[in-house]
Amino acid sequence: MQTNPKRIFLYLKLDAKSFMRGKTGPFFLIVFPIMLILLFGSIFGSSAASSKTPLVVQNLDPGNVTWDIVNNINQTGLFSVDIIAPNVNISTYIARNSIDSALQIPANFSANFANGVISLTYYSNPSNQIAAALGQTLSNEIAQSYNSNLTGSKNVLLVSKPVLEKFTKTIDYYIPGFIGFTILSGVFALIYQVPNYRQKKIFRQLSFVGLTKSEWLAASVIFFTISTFISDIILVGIGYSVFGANISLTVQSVLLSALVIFLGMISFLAIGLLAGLLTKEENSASLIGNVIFYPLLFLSGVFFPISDMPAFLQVVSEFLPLTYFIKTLDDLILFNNIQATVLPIIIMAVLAVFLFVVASFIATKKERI
Amino acid sequence: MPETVIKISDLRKSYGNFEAVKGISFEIFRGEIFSILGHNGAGKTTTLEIIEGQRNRTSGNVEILGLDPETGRTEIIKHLGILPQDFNFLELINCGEAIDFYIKAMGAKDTVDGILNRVDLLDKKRSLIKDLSGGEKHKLGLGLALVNDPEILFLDEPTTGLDPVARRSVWKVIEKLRGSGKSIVLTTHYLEEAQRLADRVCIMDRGRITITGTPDEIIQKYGRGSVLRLSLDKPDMEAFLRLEIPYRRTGDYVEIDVPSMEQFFLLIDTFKAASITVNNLTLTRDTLEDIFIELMGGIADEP
Ligand SMILES: Nc1ncnc2c1ncn2[C@@H]1O[C@H](COP(=O)(O)OP(=O)(O)O)[C@@H](O)[C@H]1O
Ligand SMILES: [Mg+2]
Repeated sequence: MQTNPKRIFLYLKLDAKSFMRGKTGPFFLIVFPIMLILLFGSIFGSSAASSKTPLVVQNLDPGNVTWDIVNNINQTGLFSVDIIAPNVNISTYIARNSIDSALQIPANFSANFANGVISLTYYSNPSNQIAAALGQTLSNEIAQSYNSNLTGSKNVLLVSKPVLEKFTKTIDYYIPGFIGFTILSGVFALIYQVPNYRQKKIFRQLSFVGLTKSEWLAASVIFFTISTFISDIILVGIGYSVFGANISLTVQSVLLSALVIFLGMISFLAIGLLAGLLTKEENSASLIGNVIFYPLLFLSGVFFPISDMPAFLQVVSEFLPLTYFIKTLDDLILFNNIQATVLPIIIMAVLAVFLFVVASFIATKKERI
Repeated sequence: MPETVIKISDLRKSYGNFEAVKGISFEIFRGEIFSILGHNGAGKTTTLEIIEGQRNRTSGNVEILGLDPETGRTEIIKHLGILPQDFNFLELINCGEAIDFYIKAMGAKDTVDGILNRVDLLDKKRSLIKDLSGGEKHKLGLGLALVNDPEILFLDEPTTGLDPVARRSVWKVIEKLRGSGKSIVLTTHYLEEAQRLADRVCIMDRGRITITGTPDEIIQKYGRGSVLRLSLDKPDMEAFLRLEIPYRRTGDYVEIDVPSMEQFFLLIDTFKAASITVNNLTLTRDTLEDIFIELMGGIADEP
């Protein structure tokens, strides 16, 4: 039978009405994203508030000359300096206090300085692009200030070290995770509906007006695409306008993010559809849905950063697809690092197409109406 | 000769090793109400679904509106109205919206109110399907089945599970369709329903059709005729016994089989001649129900 756009549209209308009249639909579509962003937003606020980047400085060299360097840093006006004692383990300190950038003056600093080299170690959080970039700025500034002094020109040797990625206390970092949550919710798009419709013979009832399974699936995909985008627009909109989230919203990053969201939603919708097709009852489908949903929710970096998890769970997270959707969204809307997203997006597209083709084949061909 | 719209011969259907329909044959004519009467599991739904093209048969011939339902399903379905057993639709849609969806999706001419009116549901236009009573839900299903103005209407147990009032209100809707030119195939396990609504009835039992005919024909052919029931005072009873008429006693009553009306008047004359006074006289005719119970009860022992 020919696919008929009019029937798709008519069913879409029914489906949307059912969804909005349901108990959970509107809650997950609108209320829940608002709650998430308001809750986390009011706890953590925005990074845009302070223009000076906090910089932890630890001086391991008791030599005279070393304190000049701290003065120099202060003069740049880019940092608010926080000095810690030499006996503190700097890595632990950084992790505990969610620091994104730290400068360590090594024990042999004075000796190197005498030889015309300024050697420094710079720790930065790799997921904080500003902190990472500031390392270079910092070394340039230091070199410049010494070279314009009377002490003669010096080479600046800056050793950069990444610090453990840590909960950065800003709302920005939650936005990709929350979008990941809306993508993951695609699991539930059809997982209950399929066994329910089959049990109540609603597919057959719909077939009396000529509505095919393909048309039903097309309408469902359109519906969940629209509703996922509505949730995400609300999320980003509130994060941006109310909490001033510092996110990159260029035409490119927005379009690519929309693509990632769509591919993710389709993948999870297809997984849920498969689960619904392969189970007999709503209850077992519900169980499968939750078994998929909760581990992914907690292990893919939606609420907690992956680096905070025990090492073996970090390994597990590398095998979870949602991790990559969220990472790619990080690259797109936090770091504006578009190059890094090309390959992941291609892989996601392949995954989404594969899952959707398999699920829709089983839904439309194998199962009788 | 009335026009045949459905013709079935030696239809069989097996589910695995189990043969649910064991070689049945019948014809249904245009404009008639044909009822398949049988207990649960008799094979009524299976038969209906095969005719509608919802299910494939194992063997035999089925012709509906001149086509084979297995190959012509997409064409045939346009001319059918189907109220399935256990009708359901999206729970959170209201009656008006459901009918509107049907009308628009099928490009039908009817209006929402027109359909609601035909099934006496105008006052439920804005009620969600989940809030409908059993009878209202069946009437909505019937309304949806009428949207495309079908030539043949299949009603699979439209009143099962309904209370007597709801059942009567569904009957009223079905009765309004009589004479509309639509053929109606109705399954039921209520005798009263078949007797009241159907022009012709077939009785189906465990995959076989045992009897087909109009309710009157069946009663005439398989019934015991009529029964005269009366009570007699003691002296009259003695006079009655002297007449040596075959009878049965049930409690205080005497029951006499009367195969025909002549027989009845003859009896009355005999009583008069013998000066017997009879009390509480009733004449009852077998109903389809009596026959059904008798036949089904009789067959029940068969392996
Ligand atoms: N899909 C099926 N698979 C196996 N057995 C079935 C199936 N559908 C019906 N049956 C069996 O076939 C018999 C006839 O069922 P059905 O046609 O529904 O009877 P009715 O409608 O008269 O109650 C029953 O014994 C039932 O259990
Ligand atoms: Mg049945």
